[in-house]
Amino acid sequence: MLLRRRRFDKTTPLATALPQKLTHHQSSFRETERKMSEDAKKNIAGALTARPNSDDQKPSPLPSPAPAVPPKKVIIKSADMIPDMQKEAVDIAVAAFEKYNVEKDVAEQIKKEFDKRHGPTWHCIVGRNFGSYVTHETNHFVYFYLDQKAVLLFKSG
Amino acid sequence: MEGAQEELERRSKFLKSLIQKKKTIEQQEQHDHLQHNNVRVRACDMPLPLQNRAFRCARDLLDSMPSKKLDSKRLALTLKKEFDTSYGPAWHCIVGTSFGSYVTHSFGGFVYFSIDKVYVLLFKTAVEPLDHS
Repeated sequence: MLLRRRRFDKTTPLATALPQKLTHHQSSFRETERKMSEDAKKNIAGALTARPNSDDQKPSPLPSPAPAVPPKKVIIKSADMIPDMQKEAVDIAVAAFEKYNVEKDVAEQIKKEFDKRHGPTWHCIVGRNFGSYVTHETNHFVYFYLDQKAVLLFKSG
Repeated sequence: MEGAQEELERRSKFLKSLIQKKKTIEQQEQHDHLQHNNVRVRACDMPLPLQNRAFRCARDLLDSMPSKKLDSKRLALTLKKEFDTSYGPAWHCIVGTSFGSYVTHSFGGFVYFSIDKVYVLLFKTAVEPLDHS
């Protein structure tokens, strides 16, 4: 297969909008608040009653007892890869970061998963500060950020 | 016959002694060289001449950078190009102060070292010929 060179260096990620989930959560909170207010208006004498109602309704809007952890910011800095495979790389990386703390272990997980799914030979670099210059197969290169960590994944050999 | 056997053993010991001395000298020279250039090998599967080439190349470039800021990309590019040119494609180079990696490399084509405060990963992969089908 044709080999192409690809280079990049770490740069400060650009600011992005808040995750949608967080926005939804805030909206939900406002609705609940409004409802409490209405209850209070309707039955001032029964203030005690209003409180239990509020408690009962509070869990409903939320998908789980605790609010969901906001997802990591994902920024695709550079890619020569079909979108489905890019998404796959990001998903595997997110799972790996949740499972491991050491960058080397995260890189290992990602590389092995891609070797398994898309055939050898893949290489993975994970970190906060690094520059690189590599040769990769056409359509098999992606470089993205998950929060402050950069992930470089490419196929060669 | 006994005399001949003893003579062979004596010569064999002498040769082994010479080989060992040479190895010791080479190791000492390498150690001095690394110390002088502030290089420390962390992991390696690479012939000595190639290692020394990488160290010298990195040392020369770092010394030539006027600003104190590390130019990771430039060092990675320089090393990769030099090795692609001298030892055939395809080489890959990662340079930085904070990263982890997991790669597969060709036999004899891997070195991971630190020089000053920067870490360098240099490795080779096999190149498949173009698919003409």
